[in-house]
Amino acid sequence: MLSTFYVEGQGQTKRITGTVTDNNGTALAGISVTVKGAPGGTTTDNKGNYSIDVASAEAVLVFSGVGFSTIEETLSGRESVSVTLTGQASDLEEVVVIGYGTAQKKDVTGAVSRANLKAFKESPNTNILQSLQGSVAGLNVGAVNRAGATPSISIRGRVSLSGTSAPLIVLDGIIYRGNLSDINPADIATVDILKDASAAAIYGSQASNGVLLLTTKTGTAGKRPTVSLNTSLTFQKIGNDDMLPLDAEGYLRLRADRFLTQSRTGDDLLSPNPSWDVLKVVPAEVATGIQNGTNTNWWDLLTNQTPMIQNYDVGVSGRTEQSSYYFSLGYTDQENVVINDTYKRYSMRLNLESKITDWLKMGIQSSYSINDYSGVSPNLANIFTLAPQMAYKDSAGELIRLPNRAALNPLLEVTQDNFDKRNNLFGLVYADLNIPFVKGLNYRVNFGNNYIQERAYNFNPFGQNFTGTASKSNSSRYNQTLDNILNYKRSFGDHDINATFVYGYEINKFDSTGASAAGFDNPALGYNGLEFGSAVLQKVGSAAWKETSLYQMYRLIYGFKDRYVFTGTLRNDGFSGFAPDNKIASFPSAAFAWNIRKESFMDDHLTALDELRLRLSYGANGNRTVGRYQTLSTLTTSFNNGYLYGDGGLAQQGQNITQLSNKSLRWETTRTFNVGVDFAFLKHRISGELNLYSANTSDLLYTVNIPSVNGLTTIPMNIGKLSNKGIELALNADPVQGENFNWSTSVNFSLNRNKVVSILGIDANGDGKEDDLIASKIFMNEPFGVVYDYNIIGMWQVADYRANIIPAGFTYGTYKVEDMNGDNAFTAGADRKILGYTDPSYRISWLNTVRYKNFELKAFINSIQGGKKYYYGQPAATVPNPDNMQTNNFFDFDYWTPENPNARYRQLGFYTTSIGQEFSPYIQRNFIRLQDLTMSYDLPQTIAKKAGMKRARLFLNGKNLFTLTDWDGWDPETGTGLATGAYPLMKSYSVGLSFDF
Amino acid sequence: MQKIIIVLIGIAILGISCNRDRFLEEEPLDFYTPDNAFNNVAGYQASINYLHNQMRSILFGGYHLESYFPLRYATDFAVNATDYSPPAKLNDYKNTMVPTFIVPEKIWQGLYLIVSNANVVITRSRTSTAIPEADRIKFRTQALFFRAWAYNFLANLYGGVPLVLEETVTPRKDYTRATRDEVYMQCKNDLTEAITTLGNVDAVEAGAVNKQAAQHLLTEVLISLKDYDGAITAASSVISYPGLSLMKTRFGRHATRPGDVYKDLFELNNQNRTSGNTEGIFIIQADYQNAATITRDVIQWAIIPQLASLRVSTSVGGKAPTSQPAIKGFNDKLAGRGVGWMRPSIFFLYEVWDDANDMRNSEYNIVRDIRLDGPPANSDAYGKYYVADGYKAKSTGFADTTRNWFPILKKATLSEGDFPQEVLEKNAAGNPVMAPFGGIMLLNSSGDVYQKDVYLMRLAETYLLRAEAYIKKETPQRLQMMSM
Repeated sequence: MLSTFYVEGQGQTKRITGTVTDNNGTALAGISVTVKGAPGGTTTDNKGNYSIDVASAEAVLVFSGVGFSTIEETLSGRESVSVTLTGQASDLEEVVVIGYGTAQKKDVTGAVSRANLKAFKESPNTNILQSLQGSVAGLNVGAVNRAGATPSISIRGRVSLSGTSAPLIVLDGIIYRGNLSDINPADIATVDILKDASAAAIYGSQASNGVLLLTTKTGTAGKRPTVSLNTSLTFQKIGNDDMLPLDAEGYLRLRADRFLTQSRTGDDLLSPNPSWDVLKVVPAEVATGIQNGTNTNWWDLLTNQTPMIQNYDVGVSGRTEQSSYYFSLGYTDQENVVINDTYKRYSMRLNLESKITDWLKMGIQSSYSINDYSGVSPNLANIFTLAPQMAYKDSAGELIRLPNRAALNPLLEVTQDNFDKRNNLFGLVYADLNIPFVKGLNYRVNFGNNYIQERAYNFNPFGQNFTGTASKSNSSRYNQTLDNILNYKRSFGDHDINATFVYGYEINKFDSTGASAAGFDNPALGYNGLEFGSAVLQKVGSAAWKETSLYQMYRLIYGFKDRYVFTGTLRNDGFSGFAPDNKIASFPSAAFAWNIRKESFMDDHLTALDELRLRLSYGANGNRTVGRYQTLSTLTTSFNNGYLYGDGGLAQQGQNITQLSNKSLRWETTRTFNVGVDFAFLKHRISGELNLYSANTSDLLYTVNIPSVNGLTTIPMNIGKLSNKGIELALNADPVQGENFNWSTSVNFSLNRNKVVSILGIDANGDGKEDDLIASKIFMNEPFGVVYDYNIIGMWQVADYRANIIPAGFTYGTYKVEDMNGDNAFTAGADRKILGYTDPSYRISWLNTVRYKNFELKAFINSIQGGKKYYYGQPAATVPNPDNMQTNNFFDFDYWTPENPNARYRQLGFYTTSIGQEFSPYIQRNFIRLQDLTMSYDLPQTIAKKAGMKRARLFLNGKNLFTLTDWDGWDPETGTGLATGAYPLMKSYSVGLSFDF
Repeated sequence: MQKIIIVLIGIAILGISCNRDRFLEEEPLDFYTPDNAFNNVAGYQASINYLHNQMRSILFGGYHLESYFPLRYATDFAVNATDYSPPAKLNDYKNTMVPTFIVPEKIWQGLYLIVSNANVVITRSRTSTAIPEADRIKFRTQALFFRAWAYNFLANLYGGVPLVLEETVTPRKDYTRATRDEVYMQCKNDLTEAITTLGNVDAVEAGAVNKQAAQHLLTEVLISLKDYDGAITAASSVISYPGLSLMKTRFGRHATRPGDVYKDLFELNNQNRTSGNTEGIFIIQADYQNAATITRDVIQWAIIPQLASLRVSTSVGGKAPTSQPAIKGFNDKLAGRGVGWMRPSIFFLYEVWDDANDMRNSEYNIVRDIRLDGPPANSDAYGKYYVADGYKAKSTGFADTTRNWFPILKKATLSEGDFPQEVLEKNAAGNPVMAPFGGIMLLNSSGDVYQKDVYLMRLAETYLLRAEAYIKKETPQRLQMMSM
């Protein structure tokens, strides 16, 4: 069956196939392959494969592509010719997506990076963003610990406190408002990241966090369609076994450690107290369990030991003279460690473009995905806190409803009937016409539609005191975009002009209807029988909103002699959420690039230098921050707010004003200055990019405390200022380039320093400097995210207690904090100071690719570091207070006991009220992680061909295999500390196959 | 081909030619704004309902639990039973009675929410043309009552506070404190105005603001203003109002059960006048499972001891004594589930009852012993009494002596048979599970379903206020000496 895809050459012609790769072994798409002296030709597909018909066994094939040196290969009777192209010519001729169009990299004046998606192709990433984690300098992608979750993402430093810090996502030219989990990562061809003001300015009021441009695959193959099959199977394990709940014996030890005065005796509290009776402190159910020897492993009962991820993708792409197409189907089934933390995605895509006439193309880029998050996961906190002595089933084998008389048995909790599906339909229809008679003038209209439907249904037979609760919620979101793009691109001698004008609108709508009921006499119909719930417990809800935007964008790129490039842009953004007097925001930017290498004086001096380019840009970008309806006076109306009169009285609505009209609210503006250098030398064996930036945000929206006498405690105001400065460096090198052995390596480094310049502008204490907002822990001229707290200088010990030198409110096994003003009291006002900062100091990652013949090994190490003062977290902030530690189970951690006097954390039975129950040491989240390790083997071309395949690859991948950290908790990067409700980060092992036919 | 071009140009023109201002106009779709919320009587009523709701929320602990307790701690009534160390919470006044501590902050905020939302009604009802004049006055006077209640509360706790008397349209930061007397004077003015038009207690809906409630509140305000004659007059108008009288005979829901009239006063649904009760002046309304009764009254959960954790030492089957649970669980004869967060003071539990015939201290109203049904049936303790048989005297566990046991205030729970069906423990056949010595076993959720009407003002209290006014009037010098 496979061979049906392979058509033998007809007549005298012979079909030649092969793969084109670059020095890194990365397949090259779009490389032109022609037969010397013959008309026509083909281009490589996105796997780097080509096939071309030749008339003679001695023909010469010519491989050429922008950014690469041209190679000629004589066939000498070969039927398969694979070549490696070196970027001899210039990486600068690569075409990148710049938003509302494309440009050659040499004409790009802003900071734009293209992600290396190939490096993580074999990783079990269910979300495209996971493939960007750590791989682009200045792009910060968080780790995920839930199935089907979308990681947090930001570019460079924080430029907003109230607004979103996520970059704008643009999918195939349309602003994408959905969830990136809905998009099959296998469909994404490229991800370009617009980092500085000049590059992002085309998106104006939504661009201050940068822009991610995602482009899906199109048909670029030769005459025959290419069929790609990818499949992988992943086995996962939790990353950290220290966090598992204690067993029965550990539970009893925890009780003794919680009640030190009862369980210990002697002056030094080091002797066991013979009269300690654990039965005195445990609830009746545990007492029974102790007598019965019960030892329930709640963790094992409610987790999957080896959760799996399965992934299958099929893609078909092709191109004829008239049209090109890409069609794909994908299926992902992810199972995480906690029962019912699952995710299934069924996705399909059809991208089609047809040439109607010589001057008119029309096309569609469409996708549909069904995302299934159904299933209720148990409350993780219960798994950790339920005592192992509590039985989960009774003598008849039935599950016990309330093992501790309070919390529902988690084994019952997970049996709820739950349905949670989200469907995403995306369709972009476009027409692209070269306006006749005006050379270089092109008009394109993009009409984008995105419809997202969410259905969340649940029936909990145990709710409302076991009479059942059920709910049904249907919501939909519709997004419509129309962009008219007029582009004029032409060269006049030494002058290159690329001018773009965009006029468009966006409409974004949401509506939802929900109903719930409780108290079912007959629960047989579940959530499909809401009307059979108790009459007084049936509730309905509905919601709707609408946002509109209207915008124009002007951009001119002017190049002179390929040496000097100037870009100027202006974007005007109107948004319905802005106040009437502030409806339109304008964002200008300008940039300049100088291709120094092209200057003649360079040729004489630096022959080893292949490339040197300097870029400067300055511009303003916005963050809408102000959401819809935020400038309007708003009432909250509900029964919850209401009242009744008389026994059995009818519930009446209540209303109160929860938001005052605030017409002065506006967007935030960030002005960024960026200097960049692109360089390459030693025949491109070493290349890189360096960016330095300084970004200043003004009109920062901040929720200001106002006297609650106003009836509200806070209002948002545009008054603050933030600044960010940073460095980004990307370095690539090919230290070894041999016939059979290649080694290439790349390092990404980024560092950002954030500073609060102003928030309220108030100097109440008259010291000439703006006052700090101590209650919110915001300090002027310090980074946002300050660790401002009491300084721990040790731990009070039993000896101190006996010497009677422990201050009031403290005892042995509590934190000894610095008395900064020496008044022998510990007050929030006088005894706290800045101990560090929560943001990372720098991020660094290192990718190594080693190829030996058909084997390839890729290792990716990612690290986030805090240096001396940065990246602090507080892992023990969530450790339960003594009251909640009386009978609950927990996991083992480094807490104080008389036997463990040098512990990191306080004793379990006491905390100092005046400094708060959350008070605990700050620990740096620094880590170095072997994030990806991939070994792959390509079947030799000759064998593959015999099997009727263009390419076959077998791979093994390990993700998050090893993490070096001093953090306490599941994981430093997710920042989850000693908390019972947190999900673990998984490590995984995958095996996979990919074929091209 | 021409068709295609025409369509494309058509789309382009569509995009360009729309009216910019109309396109960008913002239209609220799922919430009310002041423009459309006060166009009829129902809108104003909804605002008054909110004032009731917020008052209930503060007093039931729904607004902010942590600041619910301090309104009872640090009085002669109760102490915190969960703070085992001296400097905890309100036991540590020096570090917690500061403006940045959540408790004083939240109570202040909650009361100003009443003031500001009352002001919305007061300001808007003055000029509204959307509703008839009679309604404008009706809503204004009810709002005046709530504003006076909140300001009186604020003045009692914080002294002089900023006086705001109109709706806030633009937030301000330049408020200054009035004097405490100015605040009380404002309360007096508001109440005096309200009293002229408010309906009588027996003429308004159950739970609604009424003239006698305003007069009762005015009594308290005038005492604070040292206008004792005025206070006596105001109290006397309440006491002499024919629609009100003290309850002296058994009535209502469980009138035929063994008990007394004081117990009747606190039975479920025995507070409103429909039950025959003529003692209630202002009654906070709450119905279990009513959509407008979301917040439970936390009092039962807070002040019923944590009996489920109480332990006794007893010999089981003749073996050496071990620690055993004292009770099998809460049952409906005893009380709904409590956690003993708040412990009535020694003064309240034991010392104040110097009159042996005080009905409030009857066995029906304060349960001072329980029968042990928790230990195994073959143990020595089974069926014995916790206090009478000496188990309490022998208890050593710290929590056992503070929060796990103290006498049960029956008025803070429901009576036998009054718990909702779904919080009764049921066996596999669906039948209620009986406790060994009577009563139906309750689920833990019995601590969450306590929603009962509560007196904010009761005639008995008016008598006490009048008595206070008389005492202060007669003996100003003695009081002066005491305060020194």
